[in-house]
Amino acid sequence: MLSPERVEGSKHEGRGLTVYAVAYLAFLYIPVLLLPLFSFNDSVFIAFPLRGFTTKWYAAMAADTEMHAALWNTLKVGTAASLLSTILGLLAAKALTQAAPLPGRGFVLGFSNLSLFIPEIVIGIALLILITTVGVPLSLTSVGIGHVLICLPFAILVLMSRFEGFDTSLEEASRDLGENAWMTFWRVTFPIVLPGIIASLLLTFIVSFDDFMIAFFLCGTDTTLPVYIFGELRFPYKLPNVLALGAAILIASAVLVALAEWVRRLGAEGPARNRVIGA
Amino acid sequence: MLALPAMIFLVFALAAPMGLLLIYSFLTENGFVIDAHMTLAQYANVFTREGYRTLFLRSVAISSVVTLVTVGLAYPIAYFVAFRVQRAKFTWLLLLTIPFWTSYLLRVFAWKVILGFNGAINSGLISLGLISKPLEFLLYNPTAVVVTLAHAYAAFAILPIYVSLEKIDRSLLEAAADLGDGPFRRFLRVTLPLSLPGILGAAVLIFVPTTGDYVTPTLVGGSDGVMIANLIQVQFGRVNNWPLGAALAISSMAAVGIIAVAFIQAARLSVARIK
Amino acid sequence: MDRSADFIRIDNVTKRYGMTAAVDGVSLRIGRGEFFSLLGPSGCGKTTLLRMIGGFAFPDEGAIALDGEDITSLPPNRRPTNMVFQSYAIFPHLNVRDNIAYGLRVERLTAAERHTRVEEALAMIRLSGYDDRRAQQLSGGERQRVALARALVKRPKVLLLDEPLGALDKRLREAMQIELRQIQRDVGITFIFVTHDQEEALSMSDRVAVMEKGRVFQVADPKTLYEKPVSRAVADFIGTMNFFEGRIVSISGGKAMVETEAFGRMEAQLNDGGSFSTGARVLIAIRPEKLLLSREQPNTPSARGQILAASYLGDRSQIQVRIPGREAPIAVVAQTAMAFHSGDTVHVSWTPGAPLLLAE
Repeated sequence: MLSPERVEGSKHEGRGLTVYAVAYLAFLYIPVLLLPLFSFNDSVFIAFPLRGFTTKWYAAMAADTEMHAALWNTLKVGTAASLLSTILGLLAAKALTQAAPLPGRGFVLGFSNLSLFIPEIVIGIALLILITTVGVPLSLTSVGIGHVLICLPFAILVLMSRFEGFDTSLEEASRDLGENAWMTFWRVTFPIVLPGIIASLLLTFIVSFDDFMIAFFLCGTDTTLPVYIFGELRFPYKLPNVLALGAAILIASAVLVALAEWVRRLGAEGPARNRVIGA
Repeated sequence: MLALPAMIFLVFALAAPMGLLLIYSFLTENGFVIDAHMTLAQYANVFTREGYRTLFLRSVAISSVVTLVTVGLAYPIAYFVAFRVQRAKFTWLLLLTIPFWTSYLLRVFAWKVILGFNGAINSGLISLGLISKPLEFLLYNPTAVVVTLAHAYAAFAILPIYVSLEKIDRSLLEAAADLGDGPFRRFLRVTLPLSLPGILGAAVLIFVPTTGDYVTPTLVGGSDGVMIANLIQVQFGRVNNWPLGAALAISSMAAVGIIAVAFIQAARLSVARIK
Repeated sequence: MDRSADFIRIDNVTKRYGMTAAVDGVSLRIGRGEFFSLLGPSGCGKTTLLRMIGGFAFPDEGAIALDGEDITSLPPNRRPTNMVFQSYAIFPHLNVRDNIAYGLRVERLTAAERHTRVEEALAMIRLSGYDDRRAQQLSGGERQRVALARALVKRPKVLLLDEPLGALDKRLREAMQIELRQIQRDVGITFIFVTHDQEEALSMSDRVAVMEKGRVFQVADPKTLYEKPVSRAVADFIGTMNFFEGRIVSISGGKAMVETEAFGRMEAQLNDGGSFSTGARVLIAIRPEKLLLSREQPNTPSARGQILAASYLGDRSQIQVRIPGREAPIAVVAQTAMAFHSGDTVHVSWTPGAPLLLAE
């Protein structure tokens, strides 16, 4: 890995870029941070000046049973989608990084990442057509399938990077020392890949949790949280409730993402890198 | 072998639906019945109705501006993290990508709140005494769509550009300096061309999805900022003309694909001429 | 050393990848307790052959038997063999003790027995007290020893080693060569050792099989290989060799008289491999250290030439001599204190019995 050396520029130029970087971060975060800010604001209107601190919007949110149902649905779908996409992604990532000259490797990789390049609305309507043609009613299951589709590229990406440094002779050594294929997976492969699996579960959960478009088309009568929120956005008096909910979601996802990244990097320099270094 | 479960799933969940979508685009809707005769009628509709064309061009125009703005704003920050940050790279990248992982819907909503007539900007400026009446041009127009999308898709731009900048062998820049180039020329002749794959990747990653975006035009676009996705959605909603919706979807995807490929070719050719 | 010479039988084994045969009709017999090396350049099939013995590849044709049992199609965990991998394959998520003990789980020993074996192994590789360390905390040489201990603790009938010393620096490699040989003698297990380094193979092995392009060219003990290579390929691969073209003039009593352009008439030993007839075109092969240099013309047959280059290496000098009518310079290794300089005129002759006869 090359250590990036400073390209010689004037000090003035360096400071300018740093200022820009901070300003950019502000641009990224300020809109997002306004939601938590106003969620504690004692006013129905989301406007300055601030009128005083209150937690009543959070109380209202806690009492909103319709929202609870939607939240519960979203959690169910998210858990299922993250589990399924991680399992599929685990197998695919292993195949993609280990059987090196796999025929059609490029095809497999491209096909599994294809859903990233198709606008979600198109995926949504295509799945809608499929499901109604088959004659199955729309439900959380259909949403789940759609979510696995969009989560799969993320799972594969995270797990592939985990497998990249994985020495295949570790599994051969385990077989050589007497273990069969299943015990080899359990005693060697799984523990080493575990951080990647956890990161993939967390990330795919977030993707599923946040998805609106596909759930919008496929959820039928059971709503998910984003669909519920979208509906609520039509009513101005309900806005602060949504704020409280939104703020809670934002903070929770930020924490989850940071956690996922931290876990993924755990041992990015460690266990999986079984490189031979001269004495 | 191992990849098989994923492949089987994708065949059922991606290939089959897209195939059906394609088939639907050749059908027609008669009341509540789908006429199974294949015809190009829907495509004729798509290409002849002027309203559709305008809408499509507007969507492309909005996406192009979004792409330009987002990539333009992202390049310096990606450059900053790749070249100016030594040890905190991970922290910076994490900070830059966290907003991306929070709910897209909520971020668009946040902009609606910010740009609204009684929103954060207007109320803030009024309470500071800078204006007396709220600004009306902030929300419910294409500009609002552009700003919102640029904010939402920032991470899609930063990461590919960062990766391609990070990969540049620093000794190439040293060699260029040794051969007489100052910082600006070094950037133009070495860094920029070598980071082109990242720039193009970012451009495609932003352009393609934003043309098909639904949430942003719905929440902040108003009637002036309607985009193609709104039209498609309506076919599956109250208008209930699925074949037309399918044809609209397929033709706009194809058109966007062609534009993207043409753009990439053009960009590559023009940068190749920088010696 | 009691050697049942048929401990390992490799019979006509072939392995193909696509159109090419990585291993092509190889037959070998390895004795119990032997230190046997497979030597050859990259791609010669030695690693493929080793992996077939270990169970990580399966022959397309032929059979492999170990101690009377046919192991050709057995998976690796059912063979009484163990392998030291080229990358060492130390489990990064386990410490040294758990690495060494890894293969003991299937052996169903008591905890006490397991503990004893691991302690013995650690002592044998001289890493007692290292049990809690992890792979990242070990040097390359230490990792190599842990890999060795992990394999030996299972008391296999055969230990397979896949270029285990390749990643170590020269001094450490030489120390490990001696240590490995010593361990092998102490433990008495058959070792099959793969390497591309002929010095290594010659210094450690009881016998060596020289391979190229999937075939075995010669199997012999190091001394025989060095002094009586059966073909140009083997001779060229083992050490440096000078080759001179010539034609057989006459044959009598195990020796042949060969007419060469470089040296005129030379008398050469007939090798065991290959039959020769008068008039045949052959190669005379002479090792650099069997050539003699002198300032005056000697009594024995010689050629006159000029020194092209001379390198002083401390314990010996390597000299390149150009003689007329021959494009490639002759490589000579001299141990005398005589100073040789570029441009000097010298006479090249050879020690009696040095020239070898090889087919062209």
